[in-house]
Amino acid sequence: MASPAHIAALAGRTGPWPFAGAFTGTLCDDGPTGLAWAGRVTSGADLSLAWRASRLLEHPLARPGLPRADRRRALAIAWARLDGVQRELLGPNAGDGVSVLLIAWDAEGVALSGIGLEALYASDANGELAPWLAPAHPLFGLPGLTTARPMALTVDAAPSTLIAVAHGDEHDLAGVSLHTALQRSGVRR
Amino acid sequence: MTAPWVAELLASVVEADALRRAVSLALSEGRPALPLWLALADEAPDQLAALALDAHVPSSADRLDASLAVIDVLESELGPERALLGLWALANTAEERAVVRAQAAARHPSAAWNAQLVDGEASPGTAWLTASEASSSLDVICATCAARGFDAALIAAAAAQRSLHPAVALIRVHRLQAAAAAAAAALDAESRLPVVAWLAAVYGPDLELLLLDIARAVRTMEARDALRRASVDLPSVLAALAAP
Repeated sequence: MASPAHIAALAGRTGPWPFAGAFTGTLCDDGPTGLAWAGRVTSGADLSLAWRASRLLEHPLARPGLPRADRRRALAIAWARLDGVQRELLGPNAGDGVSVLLIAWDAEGVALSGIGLEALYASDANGELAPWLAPAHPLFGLPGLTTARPMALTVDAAPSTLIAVAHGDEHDLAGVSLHTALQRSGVRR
Repeated sequence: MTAPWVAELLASVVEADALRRAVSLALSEGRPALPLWLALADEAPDQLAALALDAHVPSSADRLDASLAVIDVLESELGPERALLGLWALANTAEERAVVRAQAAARHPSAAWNAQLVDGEASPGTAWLTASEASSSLDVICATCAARGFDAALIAAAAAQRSLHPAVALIRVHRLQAAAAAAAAALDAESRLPVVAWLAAVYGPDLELLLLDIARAVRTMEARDALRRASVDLPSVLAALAAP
């Protein structure tokens, strides 16, 4: 049975420009495999540079051509596509400030991976967010694109919407409604 | 040079109440306020501040003009906010209020209390935003205007000042239709503005619906071309821009 589409979100930072450098999207080809992502790149105070950098990361992820029925391979392809982005075009940090959550799924389950995250939330039965992974989970770590492949967490099922907090943001989303959290993440779908 | 009657009047009183009575009498007899105010500005600025904003002192035709002529002294004695809000409270007509409003905006464009001086203004906030064109606090001013609901003035300012600050301020208070109108007005005035980058940074990368509203509102070919280049991944926006 094909898994339903997932939504990945990343809570906006505090300050006047919460979504500078942010990117988010979902890719579902004809098959059962899908990919959702949410991330951001820190590019200093230049909003135009941040926008261009976010597009450089978004466009390869949004390119069609996911493998059929293989969520692990879908994740690997997503990371390989991000590896192909020219770091020097991502601003003064050259990709060191990238945080991203990737969710891939197929008929068998879900695979998650990420960089630069420190918390992951899902809504509970009351529609309020609760941590979905323990704070010290190895999925969490420092931001920045690296040549080493980030770890992947493979599960049979996962909540349809997962909201990540970027490393250093220190947002506590516990108890926040899913709707509010999505607004704070710039997800308008 | 101080007029003889003013010098005589001032010389005859030493107490504040006596001065107030003497000034009130002079103004009620039709004497102009200006020579009195100018003399008091030199000799008793504290008394001037008290008299100029005293609602019980009879008004004269030139009282507001006289007070504005010594506004530096009034502001020095009372502070800008108290001085100008005090004059605003004494303004009797729409014309007088417009004069005080313009003076306040021109002298203190960054002051949030300008937002209180909009009663009777056709498009509230216009004078303040117009005077704020060169202000480094335009973002804060726009935020105050957005919080007060001065949408029409913000949209006009976006065009006049070729600025995205009005649209950003309106997004922050969740008035997206007005924000789109302000962004379109700014883009019509200056098509090179980084509208998508700014709006994405404040609203989030899911911009399609917002850009669709902007696409429907822009008027100039240059603005449409700029929006088209920024919306290559958004078919609905491109379709709206292609519509006649």
